[in-house]
Amino acid sequence: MTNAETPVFEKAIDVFARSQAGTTEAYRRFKELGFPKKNAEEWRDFDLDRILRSPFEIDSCGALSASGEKEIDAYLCGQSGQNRIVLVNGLWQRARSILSDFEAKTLSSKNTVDPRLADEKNPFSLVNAFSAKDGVWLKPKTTCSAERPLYVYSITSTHSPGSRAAAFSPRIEVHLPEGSRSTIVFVETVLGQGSDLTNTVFAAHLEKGSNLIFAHEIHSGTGPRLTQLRFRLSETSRLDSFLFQASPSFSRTEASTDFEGPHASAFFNGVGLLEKGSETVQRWTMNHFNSNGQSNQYYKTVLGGDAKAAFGTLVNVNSNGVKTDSKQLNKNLILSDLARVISRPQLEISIDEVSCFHGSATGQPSDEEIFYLRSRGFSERAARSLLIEGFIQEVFERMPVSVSEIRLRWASQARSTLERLLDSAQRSAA
Amino acid sequence: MLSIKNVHATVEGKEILKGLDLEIRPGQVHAIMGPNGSGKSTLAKILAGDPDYEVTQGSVLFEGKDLLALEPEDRALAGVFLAFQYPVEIPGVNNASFLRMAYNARRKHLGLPEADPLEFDELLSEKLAVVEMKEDFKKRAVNFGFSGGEKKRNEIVQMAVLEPKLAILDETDSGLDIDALRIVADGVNRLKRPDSAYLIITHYQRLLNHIIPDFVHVLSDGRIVRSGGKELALELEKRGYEMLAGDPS
Repeated sequence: MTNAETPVFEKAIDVFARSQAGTTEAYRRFKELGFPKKNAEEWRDFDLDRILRSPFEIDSCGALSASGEKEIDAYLCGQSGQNRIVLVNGLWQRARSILSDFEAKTLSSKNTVDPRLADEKNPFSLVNAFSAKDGVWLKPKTTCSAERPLYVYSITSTHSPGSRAAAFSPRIEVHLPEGSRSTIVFVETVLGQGSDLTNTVFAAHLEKGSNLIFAHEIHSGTGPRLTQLRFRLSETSRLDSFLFQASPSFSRTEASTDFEGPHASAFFNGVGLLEKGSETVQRWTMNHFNSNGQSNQYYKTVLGGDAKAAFGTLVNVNSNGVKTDSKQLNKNLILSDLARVISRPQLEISIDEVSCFHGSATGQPSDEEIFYLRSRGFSERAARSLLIEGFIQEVFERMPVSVSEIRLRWASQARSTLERLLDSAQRSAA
Repeated sequence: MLSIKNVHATVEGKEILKGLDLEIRPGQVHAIMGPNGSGKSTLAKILAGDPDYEVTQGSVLFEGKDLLALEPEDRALAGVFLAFQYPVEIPGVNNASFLRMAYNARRKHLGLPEADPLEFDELLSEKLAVVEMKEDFKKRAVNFGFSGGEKKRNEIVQMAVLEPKLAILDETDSGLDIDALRIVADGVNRLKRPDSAYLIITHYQRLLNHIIPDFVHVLSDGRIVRSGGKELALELEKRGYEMLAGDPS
């Protein structure tokens, strides 16, 4: 790419990097890699120009207006009694955090030496690495904290006083020691109506035999959102991940899991409810670098209005990944003729002795199902609602007891969103 | 209770029912038999209000009201129940919640207070016993992963819970082994009430060994061509539907 073609956002990144003392490894790597081309496989379903052509200002100070501060307090006041850590616009808010089961340290970008940066292929992850001013590093104090979840709130407050849209880089890294069991609820939310970019990295390293239950809740605002999840699984470790996304406006979530040790397992489950104007991409990658790994990906989307969703998965089994067992399943329910969904399950397998399965299905609630329920006394609207609730309930049912409170909250939020989706579908039909 | 007069019905533009008449009174059990394609299931579907079927002529009165003017859900709330030939699977919705919602919708329609979950749980346990189904059925998703026999029994459980005035059993015996057939039939017999009626659609006489009909009707080419008592079913079993060709009545 010539200088004349340098995206506006990259220029802002260069300005920011020059303003920092010294050049970080992450920035050097970013400049080598550059932003992806439009035809890049991993980005083909995402309108990258909407970010690259916007003059976001890299914001590492996270200053908030008085109204922003109040809004955050109001948002958190209903969450009392939680073991929690709060980041606002990428900055760790110590006064708002309550930590008892985890130790936390500042994750200064200058001190971040992630050995995997050299292999990082996502430029936004690299941008996050060198622009995250005050990320947080977490480790459980005991090996058994699973019963009490740690809530990690990453709040984007778009009431920043600056006139230009900002780009925030929340960064959270978690280290789970050998044999530990933890539950983390990661809530990404936007308060306010600004058009700021939130570019988040959440990375977790699961040591030998450790277990992580990871419940990830996303509520986007009007600005774009990118989230990169990075998991490293050591021998016999296990990750159970649950994602709930309600009405993201314009977002991309990329989850990459490296099976570094044998007999590790990762189970990804997710639900996305997309309303009018939503455009979202899920990109889940499983890198089976070791033997006897088990991975399972199960993602469901309900789309209304002109919502667009893309779900891409890649299961990569290299020559060491013997006896890998992997399943990918994506199901989508479309409530509008204008909604669009793209499903791209991919397998890259370098050896024979593996078991891999993938499948995808997209459709509408069938007339037969609706009539069956109506014949039991449900109105057509109630029948549709019940069918869709059942559709997503299948994912919620997989959630363990330790996150039952989250499950109930998600189910309640899902019901409200479904009502809006059905209202919208009814209005379109009329 | 039910008065069907000169009903003609089509599906996908093809006429299936060609002038069907039938009267059912409270407390009666009527059986409809007939060869494949004679219109038996079409009759069940038009009574339940399947939108894929269109009644082009004739009338259906249920307790004096125009049944055809009602939406499917309103027919259900009024007391019409169809036990499906192919019950539909509803993943993610457990039987107990589903049935409680349906039960309460009917209670609300009747001006009765809704049942709370505990109260309903007891009621459901009683109804499950009618068709010898286990308690774990409550937590299972509606018909999802059920065997053919379990699905048919589930239809009878739903019928038991909803206590309809008119129950239409569309080939409930198909796909059932001898034991399951007996369980289902015993369940139906136990649920009979003087103020309710049954319309049983079947290919075979074997179900009628267990549920004794007051009337047997033979449907052929969209019309009832012969009616009689339970002995008509035995005759059909012996002589087959071919007897209709040379023996119209």
